Parts: sequence; structure tokens; C-alpha cells
Amino acid sequence: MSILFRYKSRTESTIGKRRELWRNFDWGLIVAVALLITFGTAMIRSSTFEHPTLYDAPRKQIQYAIVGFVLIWTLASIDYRYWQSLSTLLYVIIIMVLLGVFVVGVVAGGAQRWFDFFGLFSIQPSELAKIGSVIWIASFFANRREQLNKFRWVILSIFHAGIPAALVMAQPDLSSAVMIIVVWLSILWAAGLRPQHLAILSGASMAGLPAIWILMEEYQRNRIINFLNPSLDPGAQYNVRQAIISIGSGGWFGQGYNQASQVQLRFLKVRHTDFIFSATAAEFGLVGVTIIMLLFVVIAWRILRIGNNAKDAFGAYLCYGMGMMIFAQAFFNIGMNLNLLPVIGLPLPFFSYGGSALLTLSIGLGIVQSVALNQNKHEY
Amino acid sequence: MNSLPFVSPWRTGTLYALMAISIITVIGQLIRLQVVEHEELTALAVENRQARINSPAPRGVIYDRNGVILAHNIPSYDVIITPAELPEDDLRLQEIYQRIAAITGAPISTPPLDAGDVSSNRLGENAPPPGITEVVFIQESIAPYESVVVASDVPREVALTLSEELRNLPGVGIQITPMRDYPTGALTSHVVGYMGPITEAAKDFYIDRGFDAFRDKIGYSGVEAFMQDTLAGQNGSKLIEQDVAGLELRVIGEVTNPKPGESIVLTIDVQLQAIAEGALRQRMKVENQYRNGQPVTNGVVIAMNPQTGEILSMVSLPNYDNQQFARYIPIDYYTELVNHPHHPLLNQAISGLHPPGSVFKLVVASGALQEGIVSSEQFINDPGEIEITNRYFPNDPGKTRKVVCWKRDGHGPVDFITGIAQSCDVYFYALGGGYDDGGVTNGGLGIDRIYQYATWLGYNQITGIELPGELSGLVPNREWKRINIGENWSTGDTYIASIGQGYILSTPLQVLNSFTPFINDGALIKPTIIREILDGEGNVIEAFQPRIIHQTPIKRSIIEKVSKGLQQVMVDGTGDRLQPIDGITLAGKTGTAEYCDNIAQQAGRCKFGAWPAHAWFVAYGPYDNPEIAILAFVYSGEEGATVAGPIVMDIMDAYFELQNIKKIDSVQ
Repeated sequence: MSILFRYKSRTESTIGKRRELWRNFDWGLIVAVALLITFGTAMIRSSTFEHPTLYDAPRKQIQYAIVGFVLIWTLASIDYRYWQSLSTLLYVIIIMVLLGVFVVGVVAGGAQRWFDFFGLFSIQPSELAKIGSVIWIASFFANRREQLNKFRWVILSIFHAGIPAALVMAQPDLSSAVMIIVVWLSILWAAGLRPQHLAILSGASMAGLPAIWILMEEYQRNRIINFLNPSLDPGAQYNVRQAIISIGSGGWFGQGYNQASQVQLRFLKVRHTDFIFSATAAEFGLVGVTIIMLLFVVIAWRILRIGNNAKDAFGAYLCYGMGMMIFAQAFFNIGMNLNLLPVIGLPLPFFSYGGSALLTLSIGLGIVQSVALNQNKHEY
Repeated sequence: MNSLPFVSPWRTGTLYALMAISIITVIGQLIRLQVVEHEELTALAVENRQARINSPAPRGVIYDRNGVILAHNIPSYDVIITPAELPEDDLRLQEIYQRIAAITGAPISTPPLDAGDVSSNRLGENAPPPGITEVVFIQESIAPYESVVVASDVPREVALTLSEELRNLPGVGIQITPMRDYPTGALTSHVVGYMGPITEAAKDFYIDRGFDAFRDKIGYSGVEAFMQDTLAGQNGSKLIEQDVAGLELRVIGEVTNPKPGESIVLTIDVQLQAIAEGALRQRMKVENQYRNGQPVTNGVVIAMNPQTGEILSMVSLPNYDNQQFARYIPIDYYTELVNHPHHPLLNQAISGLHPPGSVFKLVVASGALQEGIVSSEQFINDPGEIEITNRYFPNDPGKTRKVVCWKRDGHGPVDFITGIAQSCDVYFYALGGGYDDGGVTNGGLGIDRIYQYATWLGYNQITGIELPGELSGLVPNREWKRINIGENWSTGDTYIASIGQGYILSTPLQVLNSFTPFINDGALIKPTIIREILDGEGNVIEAFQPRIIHQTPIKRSIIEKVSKGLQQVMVDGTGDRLQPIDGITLAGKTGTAEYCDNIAQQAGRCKFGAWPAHAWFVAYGPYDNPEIAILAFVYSGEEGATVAGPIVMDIMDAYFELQNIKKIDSVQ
């Protein structure tokens, strides 16, 4: 911390200026996130109630949340522009780490996605790659703002974002790869992608879909096949079917906290992570999940708003990447709960159980808050 | 520095629009699921958590008339494991498996497949039994809170030993399920029957009636099948709340307790049944010692009280062991039975169709006398063979047929009593179809009246005994022949029908029952196998009541004349060589019915003038107040009096001896 303070005092020169700086901290964003985490923890408790092995999950989630808030404030106090200068280094490190997963990766859940840090805690490298991708894609476009009308740079950005995305997908972690693509598209669009280039990209990706299909793992393909044609594998559709029943049985106001039979009698599977939205819908009904969605709208709005007030393009793009990633992840998760999208294994941000995801999101929020602290004008 | 936002407002706007579209889509789907389809989906959630548990009703017991158990439920001990209750520790788990394996002999794990060894066939009956480890592993992944059988039907001692150790074997249990047991086995298998699983076709029917189609069995034959509804009772049920693993959490609403099935007391006397089967087997054995070619294996004995219709014994050989079907139907044994030429699974007493031969002469005798074709004093000369002119071509000598009496040199002048006693074929030809030279110029009784009287005596219809698979037999008439053979009725058909041959087919039970009108003043008795029905506590719900099928319009005087003839059979007739029983006057009738079925044809035995023949004999007594009537039928027995007769007499003898013992017992 002392190094950071020294840096701050050098640039802003007085402690008084620093105090003024913290007035730009976005409390609305923090409150919305805190509400989601609180609601989420309550639902994790309900979902894992008296479970022989998961009963400890709510306590762990609270611990992660505390660490998460510390991370938010810590990263908020680091000037985000550091990350721009470190972006190339970060890029190389994360690529190395993703490759390293294949060597020392701990096999967990059938996929080599976990990276054990000296046995202290394990984190998914792909989660780090998600947050890293926001930084280096924002940096890439911020450095080339004026050249973006040239299609060459658009193509180059594809490779820039595509390499880590491909490595993440090879883990195999389809959902994180999709998120990296979302970040890339969002920032590309925010940075001024020309509509005609977008049209070319859409056309090309349509043509490129078969190639992606070939690159995908068998189980990922099956998930998509199952989504498109549920009659093919009734067994694989069980989770989604139970999610739909859970949501439907919730009605307007839900069956009450800790009361929904689908959740409490464990008919709903992975109800504390991927299908926690369904559990919430069952216990709190349409009203309850509308509150969740409102909180995500608030979060996205606050982050994009910070982006609009950002001092430089890098800060703006960071916020757009982060805001759109959070919103997209929430939408993808809810969509698969509602059987609108294929089940690609994605937690609901700030809500689902899982330390790795929560800590990465906290890092992202910290960086966004740093953008807010260093914005151009003050809010009164 | 650029004071404008670094992202153009319209670009931000498109992103907000995208978000709005996704939120509207999500809200739309939420409204569809949570508002529109709320009720259907709630119903599905309820269906998930509720389960109806079906508790089995104990099946009724089947007793013989003296209370001997013919079918009951015995406990079958299964060793079960509830995967969720097993210890986590792998070492402890292996100890438990090893203990079960040691005591029950069940394998710990399935032996690995040996690809090179063709004999280690994994499918069908030769498949090795699945190991405990595999069975538990599969169950754990399906329903860990539900128990699974790892060793079935273990001996009682093993179950007791294991139950003492259950404290040290968490997750292990002994499950006691009722299994049907038939202590008398093959001796009563045709009467009692056996049970089997509910078939796919009948599934819905039984499920509607509260059965568990996977667990419950139903009667497949015999009383087990015919009295299925009475024996089965009513299963109980309760609605429970369960979790995803099938763990019962609580009972919802009312519990219906199972209603035990009613027990049935049969009219069968197992003691007499054993005597009857022994007599039949003994006679067949003796007969086969003198016989070349096909041995005699197929026969029927029925003993009944002719005044009440109670069947005291019903033996059909070859038979089968229903005890082998108690747990499941073994395919090898079943196939063997099905492919046997004499159909051991069929109760030949009610399902076997054979020409009755001379026992059918009761029909013609009573008909001809009642219709005035002959008088009882009238003599008809039997020269041994007679020529009959075809009624429809009286002037065509080419159509004249020669018919013979079984006694080729003839009986000479024969009156009514002698006709029956000697079973004189020519006499009955004359009665049935007319014989101008013998003095029966009115054309005889004719097929229409033969048909009428046969129907009155119970032919051509089922008796309605409480057993499945009874056949009605066949008595032909003009219409039947036109429809089924496509020819007009001929005089020869009438003659041949007069002696119970030709197209006529009857079951042994019909033949025996045709004697009852001559014992009961013309009433055709309804034979029955059910004596009483008892409730779960053993109280009589339905007591025995003799019933008649119908009252025949045969006059009392005619009945007396025919009965006299039947008595004369035993004194000075076809049955006079049979050993009489001291102090008991008997009446009876022999029958030797020529036949040619596919079995005889394949063996090349259908030779003209020397047809193979079935042996029939029916006797009842005491003559003045008959309490027992016995029929013996031996397939391909060749001679009623010498093959079937002794069987009946052996049983008759034993019956009266038993009655005497009972009388002495009751006096003491």
C-alpha cells in the first residue's frame, strides 16, 4: 500500500486532493453488487441447506465476499492506467499460464480448468483470462483509436483476442471463451467499429461457424445439440427440465425462502451455482427474480456511466468491456435457466456460489472504480 | 484532452437497446413460465415430490376339504443393501461385502468377461449372477435411499444368522417378502394352478385395480387364476413426500391399509387325490408292460359326489410341478412342458376333447325310451353286423353301409337292460338310426333328438366348474355338418353318433357329469371345486350350496330303467369281471372309443378296422344313494372294462374303506 500512496501523492500532490478523489467512488455500483451478493448468499444457504457436503458453502461465500470487497478497494486505489502499461506483460503471462494448465493443471470436474496455487487456494486461469482480456483488449483499441476505420486493425484485434480465447476453449471452457468474445465485440463496437465492418464480420462468422464446431469438445457439441433438439437425449435434459419446473412453480411471489420443494428436496440440480436463478425463481417468484435483473441493469448502467465519464479511452473501454461482460454473463446464465440458450456452464455473477468467479469479478470492479476515481468531472 | 465521451452516445444507445431486448425476452419467458404455465409446472413439481406407495395385500390360502394347505404364502428372505446407509470407509465397506458373500455365497463382484470362452455366455440363464459391488454401485446411482437385493431367497438359517449380525453391518438388511408355496406340488397342480407376472397386455387393467405391475403376480391357471379376484384382496396405498433420491420424508393424507385376500376351501380331498393318481399311474405302468409301441402316459381320473357336484379328486396326467413356478417361471422347464405332446400344463379333465364312445349310449338309451322308439321289453336281434340302407338313397344298394357290433358274432336278441349292460352296438344303432329288420321301423331317434338329449345331459356345453380353460366339446347336428364340413347329414352319421363316435367330442368332466341326472331325478348337477370361501380371519363368508345346471325333462320311469341297465353292467355286462366291493351295489358304464388323432396318425396306428381306442369307465355307488361317482379315462387305453375299469374300482375301494375308517373314528 505504501508504494501506491507514494505514487498517488506524487501525481495528485496533496492528501486533500486524494480525499476529493474518493468522492467519485461509485457507491451505487457497490450497493447493487452488495445486494446481489447478500441475496445470492441467502439463496446459496437455501440451496445447500443441510446438504452433507455443501452445508459450508454460505460461510465460504461470505469469506470470499469479504476478500472480494478488500480487492475492490485495493484495486480502486491503484491507478488503472498502470494496467495499460502492464497489458502486454499480463497478456504474455496469462498465455503462459493457460499453456501451463496443460502441464500442471489439476484435473477437476473432468476439465483441466483449475490451477492450484501452492495448495493455498485454487483459481481458474480462464477466470483470470476473462479479466485480463478486458485489460488488453481495451488497451489494444485505446492505442489504435484513430486507425480503427481500417479493417486491417479489426482483423488484427481478432487474433489478439482470439489466441487467449482459443486457449481457454481448449481447456475446455466454452463459457469463458464466449465471454472473451463478448468483451472483444463490446469494446470493438464502443471504440467505433464501422457498421459495414460489422456486417463483414457477421458474414464471416456465419461462414466460420463450422470451423468452431469442429474445434469444440464432444460434450460441448452435445450440449448444443441437446439444446436444439431436446428429444435426442432425455437424460441430459433433466437439469433444464427441473429448472423450468422450479421456475414455473414459483409463480408471482414464490413458495417462500427455504420452502420450494424443487430446491429443498433437491430435484433441481447444481442449484447453488449454474441454476441458482431457478432456485430463486422458485422461492421468490417473478418479483424476486425481477429484483435480481434490476440489480444487473443498475450495475451495467453504473459501469457504462463510469465509462462515459472516463478520463481517457482506455478507461472508457475498460468499463464497456467489464459492464458488457457482467451483463452478458448474467443474461447467458438466466437464458440457460429459462431454456432460451444452451447450457454452457456459466455462473450468475455475484450471485452463484464460487470463490474464483467472485474474486475475479471483484478485481474487475476494483479497476472500474479506479476509472471512476480518476474521472474528468466530479459529481455533485 | 477530449472532453467528449470516448464512446459515441449512439453506440452506447445500441448497447442499451441490446440489453433492453434481452431483458424483454427474459421477462417474456418468465411470464410464460411463472404466470401462464404456473399451474401445470406446479403440478409437475408436486408429481416430483409425491409418490404413491403400494402396500401388498396378503393373498388368500387354498385348502383342501379337510383343511390341508394346497397353496399358501411363505416368507422368502432376501439380503438387501441401502447404498445411502453404507459406511463411507472403503475398508469397512469391503468387510461388509465379504461377510455377506461368505454367508450367502453371493459373489463380491461380477467375474470379468472372458472373451475367448464361448461357454461364459453373459446372457440368458447361464449369465453369472451380478456381484454385490456392481449391484450396489448401480443402485447408488439410481436411488441411493432405496434398498436393493444382493442375495435373494436365502435359507432361513442364513437369514437368522445374518440378522443377528445386522448391528455390525450398517446399510444391510433382511427383507421378508411373501412367496407362494404349493406343499402338494404336482399332485394338485392342475386344480390349484400357479402364478406369474402381470403381462404387458393386462398391465393397465391390474394397475387400475391397485396392483403393482412390477411386484404383484396373478394367477395363471387353476383356482389361482379363476379365483384371482377373491384370492388377491386389495392392495393398500399411502401418499408420501419424497426427495430426489426417493427418501420418504412424511406421509401425506390418509393411509389405506391393504385388505387381505379371501381364502378358499376346495372340495378336493388330497388323500383321495393321491389314491386316484396312484391308481392311474399303477394301471398305466401295468398296461405298459404288456404293450408294444407307444406307452400310455395320458389319463384322467375324476371323483365327485354326484348328488352335490363336489369334485373330490381331479387327476390329469401327465402333470407338472407348480412348486417350480413359485418364485419365477423357469424357461427351460416351461418350454419342456409346452412342447410335450400331451400338454402337461393343460388340465385334461376339462380341456381334453375325446370321443366318448359307449358312455354316450346313456343319451341314446334315455332318448329312445322316452320318445317311444322302443319299449324296454322289446327285443332286437343282434346278428353281429347289419346293413343299413341310406335313407336318402333307399334304392341304391351301392350306398348301403355295413355296420358291426363290437362283438362280431353278435349278442342275439337284446332287450333294453341287456343292451346297456352289454353295450350292444347294434342295439344302439337300431335305437339311434332305425333298423327295419330288427323291428325298429320308425327310423330311430334321429340326430336332432340325439342332439337334444345330449344337450340335456350336459354335452356340447361347459359345466361351469371354477377352473379356467374348460372346453364345451361337440355334439354335431345337420346344421353343424353343413357349415363345418360342407356336406349333408347322412344316415351313417346318425349310426356312428349313436355309439358316441364320429364327430362327437367331450371332456372327461362332461362324461362324468352326464350320469348325474340318473342319480338326481333328472337334475344335471353343476360340478364344483369350491367348497367355502373364508375371510382373512378364517370366518366362512360363502358356505357350500349344491347347484344344478338344469332339470332335464327325462321321466322318472326312464331314469329308473337306464339306472337298472347301468347296475346290470356291473352284474352281468361289460363290467362284470371287475372285482366287486363287499356290501356296496355299484352301477357303471364302460366305453372304448376309437380315435385317430395326429399322434396316432404319426405313429401309423390309424388302420381301418383296427383303430386305436381310448378307455373310459364311469361307476357310482352305493346304487340306492350314490355318494361317489368316479371316472377314469386312459388315452389310447384300448379297452374300457380292463384298463379304465380297474382304476375306478381301486379308487372306489379305497374311498369306501376311508369312509369306514371315518365312521369308526366318529363313533369312537
